[in-house]
Amino acid sequence: MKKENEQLQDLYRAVPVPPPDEDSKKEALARAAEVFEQELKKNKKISQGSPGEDRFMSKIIITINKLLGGPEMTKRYVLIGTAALAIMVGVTVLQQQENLLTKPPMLTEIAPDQKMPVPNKVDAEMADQQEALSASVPASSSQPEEPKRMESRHKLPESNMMAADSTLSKAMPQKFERGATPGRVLSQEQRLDFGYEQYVGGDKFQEFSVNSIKSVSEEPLSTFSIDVDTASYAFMRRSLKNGLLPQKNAIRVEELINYFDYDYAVPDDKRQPFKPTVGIYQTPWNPQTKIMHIGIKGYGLIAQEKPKTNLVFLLDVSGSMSSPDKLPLLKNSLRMLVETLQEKDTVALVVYAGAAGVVLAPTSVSEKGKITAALDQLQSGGSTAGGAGIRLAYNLAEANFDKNGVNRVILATDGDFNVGISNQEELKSFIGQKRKSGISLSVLGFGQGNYNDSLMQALAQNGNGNAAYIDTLSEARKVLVDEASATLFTIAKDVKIQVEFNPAMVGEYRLIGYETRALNKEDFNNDKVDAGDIGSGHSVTALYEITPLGSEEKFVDDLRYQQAAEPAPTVAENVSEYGFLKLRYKLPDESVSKLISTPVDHTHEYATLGKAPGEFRFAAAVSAFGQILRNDPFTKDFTYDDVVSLANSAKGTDPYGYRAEFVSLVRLAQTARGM
Amino acid sequence: MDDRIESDLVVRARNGEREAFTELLSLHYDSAYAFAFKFCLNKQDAEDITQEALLKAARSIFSFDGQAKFTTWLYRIVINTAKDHLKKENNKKKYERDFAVIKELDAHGNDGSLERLAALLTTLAPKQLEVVTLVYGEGMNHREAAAVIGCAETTISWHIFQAKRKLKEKKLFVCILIFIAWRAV
Repeated sequence: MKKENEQLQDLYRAVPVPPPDEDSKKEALARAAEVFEQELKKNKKISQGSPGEDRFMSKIIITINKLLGGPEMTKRYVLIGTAALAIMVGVTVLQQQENLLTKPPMLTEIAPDQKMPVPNKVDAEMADQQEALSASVPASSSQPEEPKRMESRHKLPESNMMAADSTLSKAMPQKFERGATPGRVLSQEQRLDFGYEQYVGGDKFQEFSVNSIKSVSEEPLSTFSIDVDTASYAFMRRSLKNGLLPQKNAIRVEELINYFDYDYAVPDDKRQPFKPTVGIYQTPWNPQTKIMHIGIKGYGLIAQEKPKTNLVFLLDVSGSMSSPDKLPLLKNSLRMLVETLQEKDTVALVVYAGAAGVVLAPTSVSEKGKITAALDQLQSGGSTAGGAGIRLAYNLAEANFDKNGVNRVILATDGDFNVGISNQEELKSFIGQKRKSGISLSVLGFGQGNYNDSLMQALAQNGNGNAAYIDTLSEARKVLVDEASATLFTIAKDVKIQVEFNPAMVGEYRLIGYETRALNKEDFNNDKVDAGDIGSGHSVTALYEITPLGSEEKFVDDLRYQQAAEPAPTVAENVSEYGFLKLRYKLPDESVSKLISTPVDHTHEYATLGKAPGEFRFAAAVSAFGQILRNDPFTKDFTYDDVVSLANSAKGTDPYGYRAEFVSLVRLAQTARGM
Repeated sequence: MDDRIESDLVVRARNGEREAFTELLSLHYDSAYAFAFKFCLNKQDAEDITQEALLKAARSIFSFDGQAKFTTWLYRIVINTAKDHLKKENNKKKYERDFAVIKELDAHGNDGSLERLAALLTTLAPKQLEVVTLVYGEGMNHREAAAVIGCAETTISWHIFQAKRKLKEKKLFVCILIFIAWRAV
């Protein structure tokens, strides 16, 4: 006799499902579309309200819990205390928050095998997420226990924390375990890849205005520091995958260009870390102007050449890091990084939340299991004491300092430094000092909605480091595995570029991007002035849009009263030069800079855009895209379609598919809506 | 369907693109209907349930947070709608309906399997019916079914165990039901 389950399966298979009527299908779809439209209208009205208030409340609750003593007290006490205090203190809350800021940061040692404490289970932020999770499916009214559960969740935002206690404490461990299960993480990554998350728009970006057009007769020198960061690209991608155009200040054109690896020539002689590749070609968006293309690529270190690496991971495990695109993604990213390290390298882990603590003392990579076990145990909770954490991380890096090796602190956070550091300037100068002692800083940004890009950038720039934004596991792979040596091994530091334009050839010029990296002309030869570093195998590209003398396109009129300096009596062989390129850099362990210089002349010029190498055309396409996204005034009527066709013509071999992804992002931008 | 395409459609729909939403639903209409049918074994009811579920989906697509797959989410809505639908009818009506089902299927050239299925399913408690439909009707594994219902995997296993025990006990009852069904035709 067949078993029941086989019997049932067979029966289900045998049952003919009559096809549905086409008419009822059409009717159902039409009615659903109608309801969809109504909901869309309602939704728009709601989303115009401010989401900031909830966040603020949750911060206050965290703060109160901290004041009450957090983990020392039993949960119940904290809950009662929170509810009571929330009612009683009211206005004084703000004052207390201030007190907390000025309090010296706590330091606690945590043994490696101990789990990080979750100071407070009812972190209102997590509660919100939990609520969103369960509210997303319309409940059936036929299930008596379900409405009751929903009710208690809905009470949560009000101060009735007691009712929510049982629901939450049951739900939360599950939520965290999920992040730790490798099988599940992939699907989370997938989800992030498609950006399901609602964009809340609380990210902070440094404001800057686009480089203006300069007249060569007035300002023949252009000086800037290189920038190897790529954070802006990853942020843009995430935004576009959400169907939203990124905010203007989130787009730094040079970071978009430098996201891609370009196949420039590398020096034959390894004593020189890189060499410049230059070219002049037709501007894709303006027939009257030309692009001066400057590319440099550092040589790639082979494994034997790689110095010993002393890494200290400084990880933000505060409550705001709990969402799956933050701490779980971070843990997986770091696991991948550890895989790329050599046995002689060491890794240490410092976490910071309500308090900063050492989770793992410097450990050799030969004990990989110990490192990954420590990573697995991380949990999130509490508010952020970033300042204390940074000090602790640098202390560890110093204790384990190897003067022949790479000493680097890798800070991973959503940048929400809200407790424990009263002054960002103080933090920046601290990092600047440590840089001089040979410890550099890399910053990995996570999450969206609360991402503090301007602080992350400032920290990385002060710490001789690089900043990357990690939105997906594949981005983590790009930054931490494929480009690990570029991220970790600096081959030249304080790399500055200065171009002197020849007034006999060029009327006007404009540097595309690098607005936040501009230097004064006298800074170029001043070795005290800090600039960007270049890593092993890194490529850096800078583009100028130049207006050759005699072109019809002229933005700045000739001066009537100020006799423009007579073009210097140019020496005969200089007459065909557009400009003179100078690069300054220091070798990693030297303090005196070296100079590389080369003229840019007709021999570097390509007759048409099509004849320029694919690498050049692709960079031009990316720069055009960035400028269109920023709504900068220079790209005229160049459209996204033009960007697509230019990029498609220049994709090259594209082994990792990054360039193909770029094309799909441009297409997404066509349909994305503004903020 | 390709997960990527589906996720893309979901994102676009959530961004307010009506076409994407309609496409998403029309791609899933047939499977949602088939699932509803296995639940209630009646074409008219299945169509009503599917339409009602689609309307619910339209109402809540903007609060769908992507924690689950879209199909899992939609199945959950269908199952909740079907439960509501079945609950509206009282027991007497339910028996009438069961017989109507059998008659209808005879018209479609039924080999008797539907009667047997209907008879078996009538013996199950609502929760067991849900789980059995997901696991045996849709061929899901216990983990997938747990995702749809929103419970632990072990709960699914337990319901399946209970359902099987009940079916064993009710063998005799099944025979009687088939007999009644046969008389009714």
